[in-house]
Amino acid sequence: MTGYVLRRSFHSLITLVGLIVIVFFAARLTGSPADLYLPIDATVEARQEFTERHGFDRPLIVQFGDFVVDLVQFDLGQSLRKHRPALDVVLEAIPATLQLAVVAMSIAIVGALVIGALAAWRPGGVFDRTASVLSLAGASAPDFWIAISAILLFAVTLGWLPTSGTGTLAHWVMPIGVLALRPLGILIQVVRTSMLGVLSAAYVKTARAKGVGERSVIFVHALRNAMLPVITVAGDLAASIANGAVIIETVFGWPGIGRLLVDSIIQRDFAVVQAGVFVTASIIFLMNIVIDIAYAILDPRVRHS
Amino acid sequence: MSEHLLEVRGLSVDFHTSDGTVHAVRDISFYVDRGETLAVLGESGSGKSVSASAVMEILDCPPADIASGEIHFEGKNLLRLSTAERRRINGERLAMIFQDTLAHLNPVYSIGWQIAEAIRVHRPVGKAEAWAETVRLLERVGIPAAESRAGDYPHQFSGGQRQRVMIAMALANRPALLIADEPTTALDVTVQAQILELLRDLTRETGMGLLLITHDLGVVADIADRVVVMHDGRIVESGRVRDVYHAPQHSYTRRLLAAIPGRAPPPERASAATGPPLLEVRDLVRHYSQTTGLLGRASGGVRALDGVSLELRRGETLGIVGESGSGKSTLAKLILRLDEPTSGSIHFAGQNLIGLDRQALKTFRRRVQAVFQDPFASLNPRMSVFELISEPWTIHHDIVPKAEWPARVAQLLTQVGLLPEHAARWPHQFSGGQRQRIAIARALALEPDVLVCDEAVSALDVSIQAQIIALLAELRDAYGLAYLFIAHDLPVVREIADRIIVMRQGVIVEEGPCERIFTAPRHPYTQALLAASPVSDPDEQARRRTALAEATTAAATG
Amino acid sequence: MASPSPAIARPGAYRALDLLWQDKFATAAALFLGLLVIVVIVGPPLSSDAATRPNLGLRNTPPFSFEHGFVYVFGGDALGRSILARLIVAGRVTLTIAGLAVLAALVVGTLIGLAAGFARGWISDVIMRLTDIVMGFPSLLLAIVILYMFDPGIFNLVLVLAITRLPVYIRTTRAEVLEVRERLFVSAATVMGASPLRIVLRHVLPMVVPTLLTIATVEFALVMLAESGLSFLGIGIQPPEVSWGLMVAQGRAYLGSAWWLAFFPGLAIMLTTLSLNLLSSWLRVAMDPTQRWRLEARPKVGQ
Repeated sequence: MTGYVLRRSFHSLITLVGLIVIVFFAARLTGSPADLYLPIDATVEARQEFTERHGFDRPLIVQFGDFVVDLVQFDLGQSLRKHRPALDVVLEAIPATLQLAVVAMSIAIVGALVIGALAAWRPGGVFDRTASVLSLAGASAPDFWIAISAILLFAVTLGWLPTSGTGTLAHWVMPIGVLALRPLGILIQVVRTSMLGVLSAAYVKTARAKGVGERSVIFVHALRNAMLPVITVAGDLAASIANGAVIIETVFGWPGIGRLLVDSIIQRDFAVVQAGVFVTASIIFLMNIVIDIAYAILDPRVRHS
Repeated sequence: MSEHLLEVRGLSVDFHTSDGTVHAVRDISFYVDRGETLAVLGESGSGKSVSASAVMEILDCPPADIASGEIHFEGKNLLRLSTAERRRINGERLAMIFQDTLAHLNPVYSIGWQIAEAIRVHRPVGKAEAWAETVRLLERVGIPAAESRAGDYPHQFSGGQRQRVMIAMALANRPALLIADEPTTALDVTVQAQILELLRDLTRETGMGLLLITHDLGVVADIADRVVVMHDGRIVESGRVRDVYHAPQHSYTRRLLAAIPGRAPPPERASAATGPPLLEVRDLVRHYSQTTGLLGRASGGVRALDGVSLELRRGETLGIVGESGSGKSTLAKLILRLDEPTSGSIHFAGQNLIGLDRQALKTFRRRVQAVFQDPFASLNPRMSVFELISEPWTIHHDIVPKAEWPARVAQLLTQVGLLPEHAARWPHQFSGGQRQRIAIARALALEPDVLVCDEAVSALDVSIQAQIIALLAELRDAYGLAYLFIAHDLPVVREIADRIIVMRQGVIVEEGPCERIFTAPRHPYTQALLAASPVSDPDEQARRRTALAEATTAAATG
Repeated sequence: MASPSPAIARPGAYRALDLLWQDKFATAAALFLGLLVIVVIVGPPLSSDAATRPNLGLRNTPPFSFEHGFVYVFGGDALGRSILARLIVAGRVTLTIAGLAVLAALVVGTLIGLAAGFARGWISDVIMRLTDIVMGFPSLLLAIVILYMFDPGIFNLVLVLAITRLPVYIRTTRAEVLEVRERLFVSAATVMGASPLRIVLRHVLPMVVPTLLTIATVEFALVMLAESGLSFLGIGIQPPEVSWGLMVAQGRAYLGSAWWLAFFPGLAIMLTTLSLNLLSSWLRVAMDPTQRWRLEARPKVGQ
């Protein structure tokens, strides 16, 4: 099992390193990095000075060496707008996003397991058909539109919830609801399909043949097997929930990494964008390891491979 | 009150599809008594497995639908009981084992857990007690080191061991009746013999009834007291095994019995082998390196083929026999140039095939063709029969001019016993035997000298098997073809081979003329193999069982 | 034997339509998508300049009133332009971008996937690690970063969307190729002397295409959502061009006073993506022989 997790972690690490390399070189591909770091209206002299001060006129490979050295010392440069280390700016924004993501993802996973399993219980029944169409609708929903429609309905028209910001529990309702929507829709489909497949599997027949009760058949024999594809998809969704966070945080004025990145792009604060990318990638890297471990715990075949 | 242990009366099962209702089982009745073994014998699609699933209440409804009938077991009509009541009987009084053990055991729980679950579902015993009993059960069915292996998972066992595990699980509560659905079909003959022996011992020991579902007449002869023959969802004949085998009443049973391969030595055929060797294999070796362990260290490796030499002449049929892991399929792959040998040489018509360039290889491929085991997999499902048979000519342009393709395809189809109008159809519209005929027609399209038949009849029903072997023999004599006939089944090879090679673990253990191998096998392994493959005569089989026990001991030591 | 006409027994178009009819949601989805494609093709020429001509007298005209003609059935926007006409024009942009991105990703991804499946060895490893990088990182963030560095024109947008969705096709194709190439009919073709190119085109690709088409349908919806999200954030389509996502963004400022500005383009996105997903889930069932009975099974009566 350790072998498997180490091997998978190594793969994830390669992915992380690859991403860092790609972002570094892509940033140098666009022409002068001064264009990325400095405001659009910066003077030619200022650009020249900036380029020399940061050594952007040196060979690419030397720059990359320096970049890596800085990186392992957690130095990701200065935020031009906030005049503070970019990494600090990013790390301050992380908890807000993590809270949002963890709560939304937990709701999505638990909800999907319950609804998906119930739908697969009687395929083709009323509940199944309703759940199928609604989950497809959830998976197809443009989150930014749902978000502003929700604001229009619950905040502007009904006045039940605040339009944006943080503070009270009421501030959490809409961001989490909208953020959970797409993962919930996708996961319901996955759980249902997986559960249907597992329920017609031969070992479920064996369980029935040895007299195991139907509840045990579903929750002991089927569910653990049905969880395997769900875990894989939930892992992929971790990346997509980051996508959602960008939109949700922008619409609801949530002080997380998503809004920070969009703001930094609009303000052209490249050091923060770069730091944000690395931190997000690192979190996803850790997530992947957790998922690999969960997978190995659930599936002995993976453990022994 | 029924005096039989299990009695099925007037059972009919339908499957509803858009193509209409399929009557899988039509009005069948049979019974099993305590301590008795009843075999339900039938070919694919006869409805035998559906009937067993109906008894066990594990049919998927829909699409299946039990249209009528009664199933009485220990005095209760099972079809009238609620699901909860059925579950109390399942696994307690009535248990079942299956063919595909890997699929039928839950992959994410240890086998010990799964057996203990069967105990704990029906009896109020503690965890430790259930576990101790699980280990005892595993010991009883012959799992070595049962104590430590109980914590292992299904994929860590071999096929034969998994079937033992399934049997241990089925016997956990000492059921009154065990239903065994093709329990030995996927296993090697020597392992099959051991599993059947175990089942026989257990029925004797516990006095339970055994309902055995099988397609194999040899298995029926080996273990059953009575037999029910099914065909097209109906029971066509039933009676004591000896009576049915020696004096079959129904024409279908007679056809079935007549089709059994290797019953008697085939009519003497002078070997047509002529000329110098067409195919010459020298010291062929294929090792697969295996990397396991944390750092990917190479730990040993598999010697799939370990120095094999053989010769094949024009017009000759060489049978290659071996169980799984014998290297016979690796040998076929290497000769067909689908895989690279580690060392050794393959000469065809005097030319070494190793290291040929693409053009020379293409020329060679024209002369050596293959017919594979699974006719459902060897034909591209998205090509029509015409496209399938004419594909070789699109690759080798100089064989048949395009204008003559339709006529030549029609001719080939006729030769393999199909109709010219079948050219416009698709593979999925044919039965397994018909598909194998199409595959043979395709192989013949290149007018080859050698045909490699890799388990070409193994996936087919007995009656179809006989037809395909007859067809192959006929084509061989008509065109002077040479065959490499690879099979795990000795009797089948006896029907067609001139010479036989017996393989085990990558080496040839015995080689000789066909009849000599059967009548006077020299190597203990060949003797064990022959003894293990059941013959379809209950009396003869009983005699051989004794011989097998002796041969196995000899093979283990020799 | 007259001609080798293959048409006789092939499960024809009629059978496909029959299967489609069994799923009423999928039928409705197919009809909606068909109608949408026709409208965005013939719509813009017919509506002349209704989408671009400001009419200050009709600023924020409420919907569902026919006073100003059918063109204003969904109301007017902040500059008094017909929302219906703008929806059609924006739909054309949205569908074109999504279509081009999906097509590019499908073709390139399939080719790379075929290569990865056949090459094995280190080439395959490198390709798979690269897809991991793209796959493991949030596509929207990746697109944001790339569009930050390069201009957010339509071409770059299509490129970015295509690149972020490439891994799906590469992984699927590679996995299918690895499975199909082990099948016996591929061995049979090799034994016949078929060239690798012939094996790919004649034997492997036809087996992979149905799966890829099913995926492409879902992907179309995903790419649409991504483009809309980017345009909504202001880093996708730039004015004066317009897409559905941008229309939602522009209508956001008038949320309290004229809800229809943001509502209808959002609804258009939702209905289109939902239809694509419905169609795709039908395709998945219809193309899977082990699942097809769910569509075929009919009640006992009437048989």
